[in-house]
Amino acid sequence: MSGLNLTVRRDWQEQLYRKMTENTHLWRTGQVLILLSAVLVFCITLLNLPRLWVNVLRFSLSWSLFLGFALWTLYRRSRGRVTLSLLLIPILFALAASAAYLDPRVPQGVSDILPYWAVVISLIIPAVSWSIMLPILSRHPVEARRLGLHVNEWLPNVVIGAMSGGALAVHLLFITEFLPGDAVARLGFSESALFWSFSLLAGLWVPAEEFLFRGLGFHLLFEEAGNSYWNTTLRITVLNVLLYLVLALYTPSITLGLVVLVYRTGLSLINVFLLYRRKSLLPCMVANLVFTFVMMQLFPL
Amino acid sequence: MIRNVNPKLLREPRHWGRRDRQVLALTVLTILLWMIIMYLALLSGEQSIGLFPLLRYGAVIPVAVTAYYYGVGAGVTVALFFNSAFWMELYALSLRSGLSLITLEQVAISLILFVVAYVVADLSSSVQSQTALRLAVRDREALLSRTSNLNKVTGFILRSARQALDADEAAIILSNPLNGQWELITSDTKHPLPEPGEQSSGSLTLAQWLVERSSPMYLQDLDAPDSILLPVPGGERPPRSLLTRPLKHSNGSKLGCLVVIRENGYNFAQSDMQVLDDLVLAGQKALEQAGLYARTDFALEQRMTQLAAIQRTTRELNSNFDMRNIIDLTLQCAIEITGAESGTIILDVDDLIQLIHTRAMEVTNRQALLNLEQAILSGKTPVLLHDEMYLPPFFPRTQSQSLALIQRRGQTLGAVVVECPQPQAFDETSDWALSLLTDHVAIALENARLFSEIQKEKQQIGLIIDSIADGLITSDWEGHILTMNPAAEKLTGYTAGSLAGQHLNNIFRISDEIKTSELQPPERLLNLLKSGTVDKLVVRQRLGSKLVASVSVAPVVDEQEKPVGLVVLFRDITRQEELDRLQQELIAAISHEMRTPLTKISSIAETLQDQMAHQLTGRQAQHLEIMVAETQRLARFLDRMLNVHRLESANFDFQIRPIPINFIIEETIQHWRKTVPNFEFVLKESGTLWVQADENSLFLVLNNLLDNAVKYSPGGTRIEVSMEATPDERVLVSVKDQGKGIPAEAQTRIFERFYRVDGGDAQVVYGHGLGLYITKILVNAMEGDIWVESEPGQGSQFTFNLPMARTSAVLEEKPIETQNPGH
Repeated sequence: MSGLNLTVRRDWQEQLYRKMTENTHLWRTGQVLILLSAVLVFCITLLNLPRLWVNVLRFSLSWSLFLGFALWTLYRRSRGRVTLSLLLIPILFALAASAAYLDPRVPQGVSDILPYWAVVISLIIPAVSWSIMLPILSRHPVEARRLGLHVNEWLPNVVIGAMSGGALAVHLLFITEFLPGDAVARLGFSESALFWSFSLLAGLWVPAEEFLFRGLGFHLLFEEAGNSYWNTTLRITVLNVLLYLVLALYTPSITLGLVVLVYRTGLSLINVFLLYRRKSLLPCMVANLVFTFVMMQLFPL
Repeated sequence: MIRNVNPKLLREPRHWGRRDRQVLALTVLTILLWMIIMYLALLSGEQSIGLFPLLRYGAVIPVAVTAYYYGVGAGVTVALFFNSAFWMELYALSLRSGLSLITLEQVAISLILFVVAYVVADLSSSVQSQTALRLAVRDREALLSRTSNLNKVTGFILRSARQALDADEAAIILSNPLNGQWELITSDTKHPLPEPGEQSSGSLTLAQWLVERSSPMYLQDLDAPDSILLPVPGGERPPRSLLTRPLKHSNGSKLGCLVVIRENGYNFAQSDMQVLDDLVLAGQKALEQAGLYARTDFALEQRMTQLAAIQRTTRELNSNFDMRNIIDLTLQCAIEITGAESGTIILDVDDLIQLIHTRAMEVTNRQALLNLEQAILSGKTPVLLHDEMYLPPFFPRTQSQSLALIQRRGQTLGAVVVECPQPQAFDETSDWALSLLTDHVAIALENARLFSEIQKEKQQIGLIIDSIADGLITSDWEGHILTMNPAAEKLTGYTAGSLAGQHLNNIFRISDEIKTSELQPPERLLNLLKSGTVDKLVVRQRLGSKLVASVSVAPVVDEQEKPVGLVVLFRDITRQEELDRLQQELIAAISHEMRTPLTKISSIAETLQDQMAHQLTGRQAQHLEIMVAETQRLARFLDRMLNVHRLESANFDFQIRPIPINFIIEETIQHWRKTVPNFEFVLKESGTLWVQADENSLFLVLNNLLDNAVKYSPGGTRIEVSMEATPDERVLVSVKDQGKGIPAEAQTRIFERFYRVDGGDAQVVYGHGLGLYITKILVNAMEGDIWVESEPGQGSQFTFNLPMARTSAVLEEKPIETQNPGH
């Protein structure tokens, strides 16, 4: 029981106060960032810009920004954090632009010009993204662990995440059979679309969404601030769905928008529960990946 | 992160185990498969075949399983999940074909799913409640069964906590029930927590810090740089997370805390705290009871130890009368039973008072000392206060002091003071033990004092006894010699040591044994000594010679007046005896030599008086008559002297046999009626009574008593003789006259030789003081006794008794012919 013989800081109360203040500041910053992103994306949709530019701006101002902020929380106390941020931001924006450019739904995009290269290039996105994230995560294991980023029991976590996301996805598929025909805009399950969807989700979308909402949000609201489970879940879900509310407005069909909102809400609830139970972000990421991957084949998000 | 737990949440038991995970996975998998099959079936357009109803009914299984394990909420959620699909299908079917049996069946199945969710969840809740209750009862019983042993209770709680929370380690920080010190108890170690000020840095360890917390909390990421723990460069790695739950007494005071630690893995969360709740509720009760047991055991053990020490010391004190040893033993015991470092005994009350006065000059609050002094002076037990130092410390470094007075029968003999360098070192138990010790010490001191006094008295008595010229021998009641004084040693020629334990018979002989050379059994001598009827014994000296000793014997009695020994005081009277013997022999010789010529003179005088009466002148006849009378009187005197000599020299010839005493008395009275007719002799008849006696002696006794009555009674008075048998087979004979009586002081001496009562008539009444003496000797020789009852002016009554003759003896002996007394 040598751990109990360790010495407590004399200024432990000040230490706790500093930490609490910092957490509050972090969460406020995250909230401002999310709201700002939503507003900006909404504004962009009103500008009637070409789809490519809309995608570039949308991906950059949402997923790249969220991922960058989540990663910054990991290394914010380390030396060279400014330099790392200066390097990280253009890379993340570049990844967002690449993803937008590789979108098969964009006319005259890479998928049309170089259909086979599009598949290969799209895989670069998660490769680059994770090659940046992994060193940061490994250098800050305690901070990463706080976000639920660890590989303990990884196989059960992956299975549980896949089943949860898969069940929700199958339910969505079943429901779409009874939706009006104009509500569903299938991607057609083409190889390029599948690869692009996977790359965007695995490299940018899912990490950004899960790191920020479930990882950072759940940690700060539930574990640090001591909010109840349902309070935490609702606040995270509202913020998460806020982004999709903007997207729903952007979609051509109201039915499609409502379905998206309902299922994103369901996914948020499921993921918070999975994080609460499994104490790991891995099942959340897998569930999000599976469900969003299926959803993207159905709806033009 | 530190987070206090909402107490309201602690009552909700939730467990998330391996089995739950498996069930969840199975449920999700079933749903997934069901959805895939449903979707594929829809794609194939086979809505009309019997597959769909089967699938719809199949939805009951995941709903029931979920409701069973996760409650009605989860079951309804899953039911809604399926129904959401069914309702879409129902809507599509109703648009296509309107209301039909299939649509009604669809509605029924939807309702059934909800009902199943509710019913199964309710059943599950009941089963789980009972299971939880059974588990709680089992845990509680398991805990309470260990309540007598603190180690077992802590071990059980630690093991249970570790298993329940999948923790790496668990610990209990507990206040030691014996000394109140905080102790850190783990599954394999137990060591006290240092006091907060003992650490050089002045900071608290995590354990000390936890003790100061009063609410449940969990600490997360303790290995993070921003945790509350100071980093240890190159040292041990802090644990990952820690969960602590305070333990409280039933009165709400702090008992300690339970700490559960994870070195790796996940942080503890609020739900983990709920797991601990049941265990803690039962555990803190068990810990409290075990602590109580431990305290009771310790107190009992302490008392037993103290009592054993006091008993051991008391035993030694009781066998010790040396003051120095008593003080040493008392000090050793006082220090042992109080746990003191040093001690002092003050045995002089004046010194004690002086010390109190000295102390009273130093302290501001003098009331306690004045109370103490007052109590000592009044002989009462003082009320001692724990937080007072009563006397100036006797030893350096003393910070606490306990005092107990040594009192006996209201008198203060002194005080025992013990001291200790620790403050508040003495409590009520040590005071009680010290007081108990001083009670025994007081008795021991008094015993020592009494022993000393007895020793002095013994020395004085020894000196007195040694100075006595007479021999003094003490023996037990059986006659075994215990002690002899130097005079006895000198008289016997033996040393006290050589005769110790031997019987008195080895020293003393009865006189007649010497004469008859016949040894009597030892009991006879002992009985004579015990009865006090012997006043003269022969002492057998070591060299074979003998001496005659007058003996005085007194019994030694114990508190219950029971005789336990004899004290024999004897004096050498051999020379006196020899002189008496020579004197008697001389008297006997003179009497004998004078008796013969006197008889001749008397005969001649009587012959002359008879034959020459007419030839003598009146004056000559008167002279002759005087001569005859004087010669007869002288002859009687000489007869008596000879009788005395014979009796004293044991040459008197006794023939003891049955005799009808009434005939003897009648005959004697007849003789006296003729001799002195002017007296009225009355005999009270009581029939024939037989006695064992010598006939001649009996005549002599009766004649002596009647002669005595006639001599000392005025003429014409009445002399009454009576006799009667007593229940103890003796015959009482009384001779009562109406004479002048005998003074009380003379009654005890009238049976002595040559004693005559002083009085006006002593010289008038003729006598030699030998009649009653001879009478007593004769009565005693016939195993009888004689005494007198008299009051001056009221006459005297002489009574003697004789043993009654047994009937068989009477029958063997013929009644004798009465004879003349012959004198």
